[in-house]
Amino acid sequence: MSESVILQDDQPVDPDDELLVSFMDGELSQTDRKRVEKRLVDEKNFRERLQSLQTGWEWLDELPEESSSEQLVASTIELVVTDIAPSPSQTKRNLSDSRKPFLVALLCGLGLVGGVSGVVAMRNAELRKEIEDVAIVEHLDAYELGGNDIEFLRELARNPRWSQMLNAQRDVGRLQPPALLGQTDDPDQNLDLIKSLPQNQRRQLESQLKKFRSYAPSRQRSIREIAKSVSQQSDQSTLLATMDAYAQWYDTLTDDQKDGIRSNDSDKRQAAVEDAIESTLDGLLKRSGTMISSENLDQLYFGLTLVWVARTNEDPKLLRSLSEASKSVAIARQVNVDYAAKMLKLVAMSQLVDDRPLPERFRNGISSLIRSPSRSGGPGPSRGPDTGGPNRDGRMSGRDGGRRGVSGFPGVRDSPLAKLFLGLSPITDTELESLTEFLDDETLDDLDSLTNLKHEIDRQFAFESIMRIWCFEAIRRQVTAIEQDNRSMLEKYLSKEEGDRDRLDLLPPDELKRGLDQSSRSFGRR
Amino acid sequence: MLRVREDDAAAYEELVRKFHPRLVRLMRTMGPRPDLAEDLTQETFMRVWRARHRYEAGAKFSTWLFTIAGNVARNSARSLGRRHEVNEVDAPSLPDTSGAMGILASNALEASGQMPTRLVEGAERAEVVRLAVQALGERQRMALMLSRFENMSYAEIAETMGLTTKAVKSLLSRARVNLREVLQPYIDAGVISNEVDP
Repeated sequence: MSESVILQDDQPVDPDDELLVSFMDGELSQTDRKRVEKRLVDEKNFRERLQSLQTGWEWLDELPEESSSEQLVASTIELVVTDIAPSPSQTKRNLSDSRKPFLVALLCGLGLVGGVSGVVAMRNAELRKEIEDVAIVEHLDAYELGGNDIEFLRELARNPRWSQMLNAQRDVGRLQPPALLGQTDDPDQNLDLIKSLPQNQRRQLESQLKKFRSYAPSRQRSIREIAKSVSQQSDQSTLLATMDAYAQWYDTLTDDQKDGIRSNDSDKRQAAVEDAIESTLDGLLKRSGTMISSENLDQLYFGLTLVWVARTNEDPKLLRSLSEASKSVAIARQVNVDYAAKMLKLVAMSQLVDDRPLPERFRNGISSLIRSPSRSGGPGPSRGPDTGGPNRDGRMSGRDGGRRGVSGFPGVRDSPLAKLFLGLSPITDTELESLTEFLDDETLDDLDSLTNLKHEIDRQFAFESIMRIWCFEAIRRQVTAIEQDNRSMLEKYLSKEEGDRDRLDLLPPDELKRGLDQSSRSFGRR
Repeated sequence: MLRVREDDAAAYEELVRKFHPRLVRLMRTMGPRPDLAEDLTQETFMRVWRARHRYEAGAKFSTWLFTIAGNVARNSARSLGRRHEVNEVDAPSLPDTSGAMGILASNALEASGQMPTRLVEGAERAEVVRLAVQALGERQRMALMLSRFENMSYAEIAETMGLTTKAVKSLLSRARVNLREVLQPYIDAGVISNEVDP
């Protein structure tokens, strides 16, 4: 191949080639288009020429697409900001004109480069004031809420329960990181800090600044005075941190709790604060199930199976009850006996750690699989004495109107299910303690934070509550995995992403089935 | 762009985000070297910012943007000294195709002299196509990229490149003929399939 094959711009091109290229580009008039189409039908050479011209065109798709680059966008914007930064020789009027884009650039997700000289910017008093306002608005909620009651906030900071609550929130990621600005009056330092903020934080500041600017001048003045007053306190740093944390926490309280805290009676106020702190800690406990990683949940489940094995070794009747119950349920519910066995085992394991009625434990199909009446409306005993028997309203559940208890079971008290659940005693403290060996260090740290309470009895209660919540979550994941695995082939196929379905469509039937089975099994550990 | 004209920095950032991948792709073929594509893209956006007050309402932004991009690419090539000075009105640019053509020539010869043992795949195929495009003249390349990847009409390409529609038609015809000529030996040698993967 030589360069001579390449047509230069001044060299003639074959008229048919030119015609065909225009045809492919849709640039021909209707008349010309029809003429070309007729020739394509009649002339084989003409058709082949079209195909050959199409070849190179289609191959251009091989050129890689360029992906979006945040780095390129950010550096481009930085160059622009450098371009618009005011120079010392500019007049004040020019500076005012560029002030808005400068501060907008500062906060509207634009970065600053080192080329923006702090010295240059700080010569401008107006701009300095702007930076000060930005430092104020970072703590806007704190100043508005607690600015007039500094002593209350100092007292709060001295409250050990408050500190425990903050530590727990911080450790489980429910407390925003400390503010960066406002720790110093130095505008140069604040400007550097603003430069270092990520884009989303800068946008947040911009939003706060707009809010502040919308206030009446008197209100703005008042907030500035509070900010100045706080900055002059000897414990300024701690005070500001408490104010920020208080503002965040206050937002999460109920109206009643807020009313109590706003009370003028100091005793009532103190009591309201203590109640609200306890309520927050309780909420953290309850939500702790979402704080644990799936890897730790898998490990916990493994630990629970060891507990289960130990229990069934001690009492072999449990396994017999499980086997009989599985067969009964499989017949009654017309499901696969393996599926029934897996589900019932998980329900039984959940019985170890959770004594709520079954419909409260599992709000999904597993409840319909086992619709066994008990005093509380679900299977198994509560921590009280064994009662069994009909539901609270006296009716038995089941399709047959409950004449025989759960459909297919001879009677509640004697049913294999009842024997299984009633034969299980709750998990012991020692067993719960042993399960902590399956948690990683980070999770153990979270557990410590959540249970770091003053009194031993409170610590123990918190520990048991959290471990039970985590154990139940581990079991619930397994239930979901098995339910997913039990879906029909069509249901599994339809749950796939479009790209995966396209890939599966091309497989032979046996590979397709294997592909659907394997991808289901990959969800969660069995 | 009208908001950018009013110094709206957020609007400008939006434009940068939207157009930068397309510009980078253009600059990979139009710039003197592929690795300069991002720098040239940034330079283009800087020029857009500086010229924002001159943007006319009613003008299509992409046409304006790619006009600037073409100028940036051309200037970069000149400043790197890899091309002769070109009078854009009178004479066609003299493409420095020797590098690309040489590589393609040697590959094609090698391919035709051997039993095709494998198809060129993936990145190698992309490289063959990139070199084929690189082998075209600068104006043919620009017209090809604008037509193929920006879906511009002949009239829009003409406005972007400062040419007549007739000139664009001729440029594109030559570009596609040349692509065919450059890639055909690869197809004939069985090194690349005649069929494009779906």
